[in-house]
Amino acid sequence: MIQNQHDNDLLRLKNLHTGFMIDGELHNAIVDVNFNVKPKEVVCVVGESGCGKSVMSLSIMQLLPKLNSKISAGEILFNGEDLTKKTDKEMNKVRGKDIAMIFQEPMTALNPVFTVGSQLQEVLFNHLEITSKDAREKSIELMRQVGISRPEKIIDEYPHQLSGGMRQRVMIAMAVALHPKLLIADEPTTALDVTVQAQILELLKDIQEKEDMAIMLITHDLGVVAEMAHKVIVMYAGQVVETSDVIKLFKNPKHPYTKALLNSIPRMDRDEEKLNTIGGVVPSLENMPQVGCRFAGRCPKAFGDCTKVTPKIAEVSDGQSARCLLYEECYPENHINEKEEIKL
Amino acid sequence: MDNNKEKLLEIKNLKKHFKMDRNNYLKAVDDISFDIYKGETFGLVGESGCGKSTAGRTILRLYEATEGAVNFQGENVHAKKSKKELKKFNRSMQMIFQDPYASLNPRMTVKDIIAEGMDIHGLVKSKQQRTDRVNELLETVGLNAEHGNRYPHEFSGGQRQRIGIARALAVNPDFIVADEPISALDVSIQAQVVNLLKKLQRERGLTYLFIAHDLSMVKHISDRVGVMYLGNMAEVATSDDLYAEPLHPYTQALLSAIPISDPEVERSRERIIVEGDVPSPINPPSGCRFRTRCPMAMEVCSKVTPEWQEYSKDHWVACHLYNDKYNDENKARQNLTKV
Repeated sequence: MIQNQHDNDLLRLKNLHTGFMIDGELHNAIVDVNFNVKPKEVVCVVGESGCGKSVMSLSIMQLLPKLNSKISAGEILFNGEDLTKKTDKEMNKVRGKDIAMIFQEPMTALNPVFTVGSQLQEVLFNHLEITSKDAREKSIELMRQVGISRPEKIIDEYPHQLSGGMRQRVMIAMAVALHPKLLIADEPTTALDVTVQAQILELLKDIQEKEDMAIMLITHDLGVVAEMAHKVIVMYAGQVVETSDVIKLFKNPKHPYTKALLNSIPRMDRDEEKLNTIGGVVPSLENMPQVGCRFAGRCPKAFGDCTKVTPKIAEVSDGQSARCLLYEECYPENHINEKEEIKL
Repeated sequence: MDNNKEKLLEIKNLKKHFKMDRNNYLKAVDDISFDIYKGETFGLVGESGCGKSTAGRTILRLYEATEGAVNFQGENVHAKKSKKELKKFNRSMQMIFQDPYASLNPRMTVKDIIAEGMDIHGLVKSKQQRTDRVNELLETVGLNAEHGNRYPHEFSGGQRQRIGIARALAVNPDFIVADEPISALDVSIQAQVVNLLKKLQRERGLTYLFIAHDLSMVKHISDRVGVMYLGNMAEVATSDDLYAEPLHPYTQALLSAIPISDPEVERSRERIIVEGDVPSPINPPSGCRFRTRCPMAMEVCSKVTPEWQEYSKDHWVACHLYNDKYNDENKARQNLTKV
């Protein structure tokens, strides 16, 4: 039964842990991440800085430095194949072709000493048998697709000659060049102005529909989530604390962290005198509580069990899962026995 | 309060041009005029490169103005002044910077960072008084005395911004320019800093010029808002008016571009998406500077620079759509209802 449910998943993370070596010790930056992306689905990952959003996307792409980081447990299934077991060479065939990625900083993601065109063509040469004349033509065509005017001219320009929005369009052109099935976009509009952000999001939606591509969009802007997502994954301190359908998430968030996050943004259509805040900050990797809920220290609803029992993620209502002890379902199975033992 | 609003600052035809080479000037701020009343928060918004930060800095005379005047309590900040006279202004006008990582000297302790202004202006007499004052300021911004002996790298972004605020408050200013103070912070931390700024304003009667590109936050904090585009002021209005009835097509586009954090509202509304990027301020378009991206551009827009006019009470706009000479009132109304 459960097997069938995941049969047509494009991407599925199972119990993923990724850690970094700090002073000779492995500290997990993301812990027990489970979720799936279906074909043609737009999944948004939200959370504050340092919550592990980017580490997760880099883990999927196997782009983390081997020297000081490690996927310590779990599986990343893409079309049923485990990416963690692939060699570098095999991954090179997946990256760019099946899974493509666009980054936050369009300036640093492009090489300043090569023209835009040569960087675009590099993708094509790496994956296709193609003559340079065809590659050039295809690049121009791609640039036109992503809404770059005068592509014949821009193709020979260097990244610094383009504006932020244009650079991000070039990045998108590179990413969709080989019709990937999944596009991972790590904060693609954070560095851009709102008017340009609106253009880029519109473009991404357009391409997603035309190419039947799934998008995993990482962002901290809940407005962007509301606009783009089908499904939302909320992360806190390296864990997924809530996964939900987008409409349900905004209407009826389950986890106290999601609620606090939604309350701390000012709404244009409402007038509030004071914004709600979340006290404190995310605990650092070394100081992460080993037992109990990681949000307990900042949670307005924390109670006795929160620092003693580690909640597991469970479905709390139709289409919504949370990791919070306010819901019976999230108590780990062996917990009741533990309680009895204490009594005895 | 509305009837006897006292002008704290009067910005008159302020220009700031940077020289690029022999013939080219970058007109970062080109002829803007507005007033800031005592005790209010004036929000300044616009896309990057529109000159909002330059405007903020020129008002404080961190940049020398090319032309125009900034009258602070009736006195022109940009008039010829001795060092001593300038110091007086510097004390009453302070700044909070955008980047909490770059704006604090990494080699100074927090205590010295906060006390630097007091030392320069000779506000404290003894070492004990200095320490007491710093501790008091740290507490005001929600840190504690023990933090004073640490260095900036030991703090998170939100805490650093609090240190920046404490530094600005140290000399008891009347007016603070906050240049994107929350842009580099996480959403939940942004709310903390904004609440702190509002609390301080209530307690100390401060006046803010709040520069930002996040319009929803600006609406929340500001009493009045000015919208800048490419060195010009496009529109100034009270924040309620501006959001309820934006006049300038640029303001309308800017408001429409912000994603609303409610999927049902977000997906059902129609958006105006302006095309292209902001043109270069070195060689800006003739006439109205927004005409190259404006969905309602008319012929006259490329020829005549729109006048800065008060369309309704306290609602200023620079757009030919609202000038009877070029456009009868009906047409302007039509455009309004369309949006």
